[in-house]
Amino acid sequence: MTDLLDDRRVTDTLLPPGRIGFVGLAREALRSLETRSARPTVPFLVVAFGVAAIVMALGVARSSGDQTIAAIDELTPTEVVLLADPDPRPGGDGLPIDAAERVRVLPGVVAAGSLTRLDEIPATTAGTSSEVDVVATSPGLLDVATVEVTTGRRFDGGHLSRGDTVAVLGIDAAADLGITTLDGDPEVIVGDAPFTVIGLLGPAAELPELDAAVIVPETTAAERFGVTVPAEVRIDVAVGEADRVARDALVAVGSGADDVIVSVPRDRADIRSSVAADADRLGTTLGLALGLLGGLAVVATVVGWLARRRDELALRRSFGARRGSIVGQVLIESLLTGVLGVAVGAAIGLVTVVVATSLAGWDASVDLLWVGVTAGAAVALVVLVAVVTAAVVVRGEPSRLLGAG
Amino acid sequence: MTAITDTETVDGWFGQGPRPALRTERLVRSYDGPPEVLALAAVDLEVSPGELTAVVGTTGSGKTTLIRILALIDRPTAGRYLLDGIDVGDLPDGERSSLRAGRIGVSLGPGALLADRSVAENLDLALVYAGFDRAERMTRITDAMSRVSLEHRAASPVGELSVGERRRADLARSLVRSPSLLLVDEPTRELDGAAATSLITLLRELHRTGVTVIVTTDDTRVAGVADRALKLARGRIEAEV
Repeated sequence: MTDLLDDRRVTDTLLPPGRIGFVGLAREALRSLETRSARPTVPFLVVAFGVAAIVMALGVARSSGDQTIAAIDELTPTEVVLLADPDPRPGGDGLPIDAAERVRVLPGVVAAGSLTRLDEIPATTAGTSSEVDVVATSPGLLDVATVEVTTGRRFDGGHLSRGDTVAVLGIDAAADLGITTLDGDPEVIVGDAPFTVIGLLGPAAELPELDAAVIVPETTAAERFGVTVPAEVRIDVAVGEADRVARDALVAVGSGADDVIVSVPRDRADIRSSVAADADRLGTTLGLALGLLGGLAVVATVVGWLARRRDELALRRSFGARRGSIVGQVLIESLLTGVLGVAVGAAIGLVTVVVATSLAGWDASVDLLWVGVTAGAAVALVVLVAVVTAAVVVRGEPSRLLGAG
Repeated sequence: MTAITDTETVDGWFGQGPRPALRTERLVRSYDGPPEVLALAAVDLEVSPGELTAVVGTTGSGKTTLIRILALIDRPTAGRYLLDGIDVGDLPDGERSSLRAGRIGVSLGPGALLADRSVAENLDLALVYAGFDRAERMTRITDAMSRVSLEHRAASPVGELSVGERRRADLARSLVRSPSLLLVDEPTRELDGAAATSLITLLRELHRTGVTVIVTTDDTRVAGVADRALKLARGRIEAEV
């Protein structure tokens, strides 16, 4: 007689020791999932593709919304301007000399700098007949203008405090004046005074008028030419912060509305939040619609999966299995199916969103909370439908499932 | 489960001779139609411990319905079924499952096995649901496979077995828990002459070990080895043949 105890093909497939508790049911559930007749291939695929579709809908909607918001942000002006009233009331304060420094530290301010045009005082050089405009600024204006120093350096607080006669040249002004290098310490003549050129600038993207100007420290201009500075303060603000910065800036410079005019761009925060809400609503609506369809498909396929196993479940009952054992086994099988399907589906969905958005040149964005909710709901639905169906299938006597005798 | 003493009268037994292994009283089983089918019509049956009883009848006579009710995988529409003196008709499902797993072995035919599991796994499941530990299960599987001469097919998927081998495997599954009552439905159906003869010999050997056996059949060779043969026709026990 063959000794079955020595046949590992037999012993390895047997259930673990003892009564069929949780471990036994889990082992039996895994063994069932291995067998072709009990394998829940269709429910698994429905869960995986359903979750993938929902994650894709949520991700693409959110990503396109973010892309639209980014486009709105690019179109939204983010510059607040404080202008000293050209006709101030008698005794009015106007803008203080340190107005830009006061404003720069306010919440929502990205950069701030002051600007005064010296309209009556052109700049020239000894070697050319060209004349170019002169502007007096604080150091921070170059940050507002987002201009790079290509050669040399910009002036700083030290130059301002000493009233140094230094200048930096805009890219077009340098060309007009024939200054292409700082070798030999070139000078420009502003009014009657020589100013040492310490820096040459690149293009000023946000303030093109600087390209054609000689830029000098505002304190030097006040001392040398008796002009009132600053004439205006330009403030670069974060998106959506314009109104608040405008209010705070007026308080910070200590002037009333009669002495300072505030120029505030139209705030697009309402449009921005509206687009964000619409994108989320679109994603949620699509997700819910897909979830509803997917849920119906899950119900149909899970019921079909267990209906196909009526004979098997009936045989287990005729072998002596209690209803609870059958339902417990199906619960574990459906839990494994749901978790595996959700994991695969979420992975497919997320990868698809990343690939699709990168092909479109967008940044991928997915609300992981909704992905989690979708995953949890899918697993819960699979388990619930499976357990209820199994309980219904094994409700009667086994003979009911075995067919006619 | 209700405990039964020697003197009680729950099953109407007053101690004259050995208590029957099972008894049915006016057992009725009908199926809702339309048309309504009366599979069993007031079957009275009494089987003694260790007896080999054949229930003979043609197709549609109610044999399989009777086996299923006796195996506790179906409930009668009316009447009483007493197993070892216990009225099992109204027992809750859990207790019927325990009886099914513990005392009763039923062989319903070649199709009554999980086809994509091995023969040993089918036997193992029957033991697991009855609560045997692993070592005991291995011993019992080995013994049952040996009794039906199918040791060499223990690891084979049931779907790969011949009809005769599947019949033997199913019989091994019904024996593996050492039931006191063995119910076998149409043991020689679909078997050729040699396989049928071999199975009949096996039933006789089992009977000699003291197991109470009830066999339904339309095969006179099976009826010939029984202690008694009862004719079932139109849902009634009509005569002893």
